Amino acid sequence: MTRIASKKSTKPLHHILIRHLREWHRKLGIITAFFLIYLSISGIALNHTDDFSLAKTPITNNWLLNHYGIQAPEDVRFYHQGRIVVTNEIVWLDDNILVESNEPIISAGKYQEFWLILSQSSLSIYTLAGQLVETIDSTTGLPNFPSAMALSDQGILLKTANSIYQSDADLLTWQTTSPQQSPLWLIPSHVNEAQIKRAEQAYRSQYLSLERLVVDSHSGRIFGKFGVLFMDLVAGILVLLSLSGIYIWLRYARAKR
Amino acid sequence: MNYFILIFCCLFASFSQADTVYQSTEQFIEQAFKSQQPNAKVLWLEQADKAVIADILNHQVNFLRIRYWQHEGDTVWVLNEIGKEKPITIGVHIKNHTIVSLKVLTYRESRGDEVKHQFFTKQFENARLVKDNKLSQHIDGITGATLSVRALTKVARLALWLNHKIS
Repeated sequence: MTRIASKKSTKPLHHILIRHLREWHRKLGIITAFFLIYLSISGIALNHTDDFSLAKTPITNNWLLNHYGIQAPEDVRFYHQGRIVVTNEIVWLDDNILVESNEPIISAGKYQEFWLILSQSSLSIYTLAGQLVETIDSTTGLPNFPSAMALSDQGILLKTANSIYQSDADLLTWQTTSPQQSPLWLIPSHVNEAQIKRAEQAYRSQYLSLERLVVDSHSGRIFGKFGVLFMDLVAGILVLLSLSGIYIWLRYARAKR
Repeated sequence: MNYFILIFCCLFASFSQADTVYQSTEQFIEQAFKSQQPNAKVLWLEQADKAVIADILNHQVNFLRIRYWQHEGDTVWVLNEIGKEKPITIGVHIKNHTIVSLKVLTYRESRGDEVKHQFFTKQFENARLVKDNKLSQHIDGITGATLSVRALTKVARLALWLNHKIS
């Protein structure tokens, strides 16, 4: 009697279990399908970052830049009618990064057929196309700690705390000078608010690439710790779905036999 | 406490080694040319030159001109080459395609500055350029300063090649 009762109670329980399992398998499958598709696509993208130039595609969306906490530059200056832009220690020429200095930029300007970028301890000479010609520093005669630069036909003038130095036309030698008239020290150009905003956005966006965004959204890190845990949960559900799918298929195959 | 002082001294010693100027460019030029100090000249590099330089240095160069000082058969080159992380400024005095002296002018790396000593730089004296832009004589290395030794050797080869270029 007991044996018959136990047999009767086992079969419905198994059926209930399978029915619930199928139902949950279906529901979770629909919910996680979106994530599975996204993870697959982002995974393919990450496998081909060079082909898709993800690392070279800057993100310009302000919401995302704010979300990542990327600050606008404190120092934004324009030289030579806005063709050269200084944002903190980065110098841009026609919207392309010319140089990333490791010290503050003092001044910039065009001399003969060259661009000159003066930082605290070096003077870099570039062709008009943006190719480096030479970097002059104190080991090659540049006066120490220049604070301003002026351009003339005979060379350039550099102002230091105690003296004014004049270079030769090829910028090879420097000598102290006492100009008759006060030199026209290069000063930043006046630009409108839109140009400043554009420069700020260009500065901010170079710190966030599409590659970083895809990596962070793939791992869930874009939403912080919670996002990572959520993606862990999604991964766990996908594992469970695979197991439940195999189990259901096995039961189905056995029932068919 | 003693350990703390010792560690502090070691750290201070390692930091104090950074950016050490042993001799200024002007002093090196003065030493090379004595009273006949010439003005600086520049050598503009073409693509083919940059390819040779890249071969000597084992890396591409991104500059277009190199300055040098010349008087009759003597030339002086002041070149920078990265040892491990930071550039080492090296002065090379050449006479008749042979190195007269090679000196570390400014050393910026945190270790490996043994290359500044005369016992090491003396090895470059009388070195010439032979086949495949190699030096005519072997340069003994220094344990713990391998990258700096390599940088100085490359600069010696480059200076000799540049000297040939302007001759």
